[in-house]
Amino acid sequence: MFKKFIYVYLVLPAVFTTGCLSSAVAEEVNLYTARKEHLLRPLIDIFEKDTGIKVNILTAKTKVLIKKILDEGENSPADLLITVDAGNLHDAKLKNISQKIDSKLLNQLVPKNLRDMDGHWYGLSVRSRVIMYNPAAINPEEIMNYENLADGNLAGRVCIRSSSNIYNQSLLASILFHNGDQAALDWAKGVVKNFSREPKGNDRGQMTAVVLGKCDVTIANTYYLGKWISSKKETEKSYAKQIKVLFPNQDNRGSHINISGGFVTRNAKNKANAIQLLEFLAGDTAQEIYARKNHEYPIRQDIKVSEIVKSWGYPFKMDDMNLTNLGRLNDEAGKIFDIAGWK
Amino acid sequence: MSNKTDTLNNSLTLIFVFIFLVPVVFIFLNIFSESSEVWLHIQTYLLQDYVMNSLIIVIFVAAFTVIIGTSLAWIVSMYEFPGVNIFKWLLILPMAIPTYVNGYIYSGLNETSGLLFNVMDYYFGLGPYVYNLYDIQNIYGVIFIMTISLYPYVYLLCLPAFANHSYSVFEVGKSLGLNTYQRLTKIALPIVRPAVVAGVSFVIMETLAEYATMEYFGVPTFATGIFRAWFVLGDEVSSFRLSSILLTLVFFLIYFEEMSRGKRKFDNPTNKIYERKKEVPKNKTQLVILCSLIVFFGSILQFFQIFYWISYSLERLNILFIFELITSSASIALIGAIVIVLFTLNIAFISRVTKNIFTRLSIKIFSLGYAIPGVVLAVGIITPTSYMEKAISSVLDYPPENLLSGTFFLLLIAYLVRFSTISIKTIDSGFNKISSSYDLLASSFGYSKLQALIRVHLPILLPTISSATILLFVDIVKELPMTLILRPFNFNTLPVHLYELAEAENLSSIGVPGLILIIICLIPVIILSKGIIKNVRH
Amino acid sequence: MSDTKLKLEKVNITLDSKVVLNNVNLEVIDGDIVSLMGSSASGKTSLIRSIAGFHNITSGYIYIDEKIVDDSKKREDVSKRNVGVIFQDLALFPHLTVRENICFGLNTLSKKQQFDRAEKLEEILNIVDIKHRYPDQISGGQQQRVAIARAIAPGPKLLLLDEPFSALDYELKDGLMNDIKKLIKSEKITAILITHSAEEAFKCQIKLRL
Repeated sequence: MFKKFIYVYLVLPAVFTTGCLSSAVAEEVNLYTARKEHLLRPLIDIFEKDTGIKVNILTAKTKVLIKKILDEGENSPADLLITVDAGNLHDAKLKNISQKIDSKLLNQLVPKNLRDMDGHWYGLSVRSRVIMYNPAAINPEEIMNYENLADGNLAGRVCIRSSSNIYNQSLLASILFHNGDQAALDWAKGVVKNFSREPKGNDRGQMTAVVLGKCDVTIANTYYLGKWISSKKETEKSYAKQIKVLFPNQDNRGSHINISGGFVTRNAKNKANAIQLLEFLAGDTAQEIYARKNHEYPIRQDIKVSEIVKSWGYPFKMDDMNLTNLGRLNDEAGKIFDIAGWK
Repeated sequence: MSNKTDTLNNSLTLIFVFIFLVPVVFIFLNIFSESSEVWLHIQTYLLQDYVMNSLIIVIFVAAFTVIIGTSLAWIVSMYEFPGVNIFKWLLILPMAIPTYVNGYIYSGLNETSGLLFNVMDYYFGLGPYVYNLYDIQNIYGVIFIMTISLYPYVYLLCLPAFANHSYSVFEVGKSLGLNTYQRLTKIALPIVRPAVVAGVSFVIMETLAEYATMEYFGVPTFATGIFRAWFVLGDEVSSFRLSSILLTLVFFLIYFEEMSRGKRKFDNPTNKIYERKKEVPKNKTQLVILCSLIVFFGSILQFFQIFYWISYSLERLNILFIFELITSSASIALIGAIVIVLFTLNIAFISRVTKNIFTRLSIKIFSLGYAIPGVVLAVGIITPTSYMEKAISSVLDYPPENLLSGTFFLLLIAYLVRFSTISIKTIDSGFNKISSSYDLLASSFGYSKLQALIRVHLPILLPTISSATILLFVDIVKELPMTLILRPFNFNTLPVHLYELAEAENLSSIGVPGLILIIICLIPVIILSKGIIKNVRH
Repeated sequence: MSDTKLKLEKVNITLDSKVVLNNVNLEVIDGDIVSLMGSSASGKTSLIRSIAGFHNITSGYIYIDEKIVDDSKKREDVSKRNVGVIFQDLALFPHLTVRENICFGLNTLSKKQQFDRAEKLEEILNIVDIKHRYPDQISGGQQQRVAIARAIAPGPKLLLLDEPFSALDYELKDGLMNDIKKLIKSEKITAILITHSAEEAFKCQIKLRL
């Protein structure tokens, strides 16, 4: 009896612990990422095969990862953070957890407007947040600009996801940047008044709500529609046909765009490997797979977009504001959401 | 006992107490730091929501679980109706379904990948109607989900309490002319009150600690608020303040529970339980329908939806990845359970041998761990750890290195602080049931304390130890917020994966990992309930 | 041989700052069977525990075999006093069989020696048939016999019985007392029996009241 007890309660944990301790690898890079692992995995596999560098991944929400790096301080194991939204990337830079890197290759691969001016973060893909609507229920003339979503005639016809989502925060930050404080607050209040339901679910949830008649119009990132069109599920395919994309503000500042991107952390222990991974992700091979697989826009015009993406209209007029501003105005946007009662 | 071993034991306990108190003390210390702008913002716009939602949810969930739990326990122990013995068991099943999984499943029902939606759409073309018919992702939904997931705790604790009292107690009542209702309120409820109080305070703690369901349903409560203040608003002080409000609330609750229990001891389940005849009620059918409904909404429906999702997503399944998840979940849970059992065994044994106030008090402290919500604990561990790491590296003057952060060690510490409660209570009471004559006897035969522990106490405690291990295993295997925040690289567990799938609104992929998690949790629930139900039957 | 087996001199016992026993003097001659009578809470158990060495006396002296084992400052360890104790609750190990229970105190002997010793005691105490059963599978009277066998197995010269028979009915007690007396004589043991029953005490040679 006692032997069994000893075995289960003492030997087993000991074996496990030594197993964990001995798993150190010579060449590696530690990646914190908010991107879903299955999106990155195919690219990481190629990278690992090509370079022999092992990529250790920890996934979590961006804010969690940034806070983690902050708390871990100099001891942080993270070498690289890859996430979505310039707001997040700028936030990290402000919090002093990123570092300036000097890579000619990266500067050449990533267009100037899609990277940090001081060389901290680099964009790895572009996405656009647009208006999607039910053509049977709404006239596109009514919704030519983001600003129209606050109009009184859309009362009870709008659904948008929660304000805790950074895409919405960045969108509001861009409105804040272009139109000013008061206009941004009025806009948020107006949209809240037009809600057909309390914010819930993600962009795809809002699109479903449009198709199924819960509301008539929403704001969503284009690649979600791309996923529906290329889906194997019949329902999703048929839903995709019942919804239309509208690139807003084409007659003025252009549609709101954002990036996914990454930076090398301030205390990276494997800096060279981290830069190498960034360069790989910005390179032609990765860009083609990445943009195609996720229906996002590549960072360079010379890379082909998927047929689906092309079908919505490409190129379109993009808002060319400096993306750093999205990060700068993020806090204020968050507070405006709270004040407007946008859950 | 010599003074030397006393000192050793006391200092050992002191270290453990220290590990326990660091997060809590750290959180409370931060109340005194200056109010930040973020805190003012929270105070003005968010705090009221956190307080009101948390209170409303807690009050209703507590009330509903008590009503459902006690009346079900009463019905299955007092009445004879078709299938009562199967119901007795089926009613426990929701314990095997983690709250957040229940939340995902109920949210998914009328979504486009949901069973209800597709059945209605396929046969009647009413999919969009069902979709627009109701929305569970609100505060009422949260109350429903928490109630349906947590009532078994009250139910399970009431079962033996009802059964342990000989039927004659109720017959006396009958002979005195009390009707069924009076017998319930005047005799039965006072008898089960300690069990109900214990059950409901557990329910309340679980409800206050629940993070994933609240977040997914978009209902702001303290748990989500702490998370938001910490990570989104980036303000530790606010996060610690919210945490300390929540902790104060919970500790007050525990105090209240102890007070209300007073000197009354729980019924000793080893008491002789008398065989008794059950009543055959007039409204048999109604009882069967009632029990069936609860069983259906508590567990059957969930299985239908899960299997529907599985049929949907089987082709996309990455078996290798799922297998990896199972191994990592099971191994961390097993290791955690074993570490905690060893730890609590040690503490309980020290307390038995030394018998001083300090060690008794330390047991009290350790049994508070479960009251600290996972989110609070995680934030209370990260910061002191990194302070310590920085301090060590600057004192010893070596390049900063990641000693503890992002290691399994830290995760295990978190589990230890939170889940020790479960095993310290069972193991300590197990020790207390062993008469001190055994210790004296062993020493009169020349056995040392340690030999006595190995030859006498451990074998007698073995059933207690194994059930504590099983309980811990389940609790760790389904733990979410702490694992989410503290886990190391390349380490994913089933709950973390489920959380990420739900976050990505990829509900249909939840099928396989969700089912596996439920099955893992089901095994101990079955073992556990078997014991209790068997006890009740004889 | 009529030496003094146990001697208590001016023994005071204080428990939780309450005086339990005050100035107790007692001398027990080798081979005696002494019964100590007294109402509950008269300090019988405390006295027995002090003699066994489970807790300290506040002042006075305890001699076993004319050697001081406790002078209220230093006390000799229980295992060195060569005493056997039978507790009120018997404290049979639920996870061990009757045989294993009896052999519990014989761990320094070889398996063969353990076997012989247990066999002999089982015969005298009439518990041969149940030696492979567990404590919860035997009757109350049998449990007492097992507890006695276990206490006597290592061959103590002083046996302390703390009200072990209080739960038994008269007939059983009678048979048991006779068997024990036989056993104590044959093993040359001095015994002290604590009881609150006059009948039990009556069967002993010397009766004392506390």
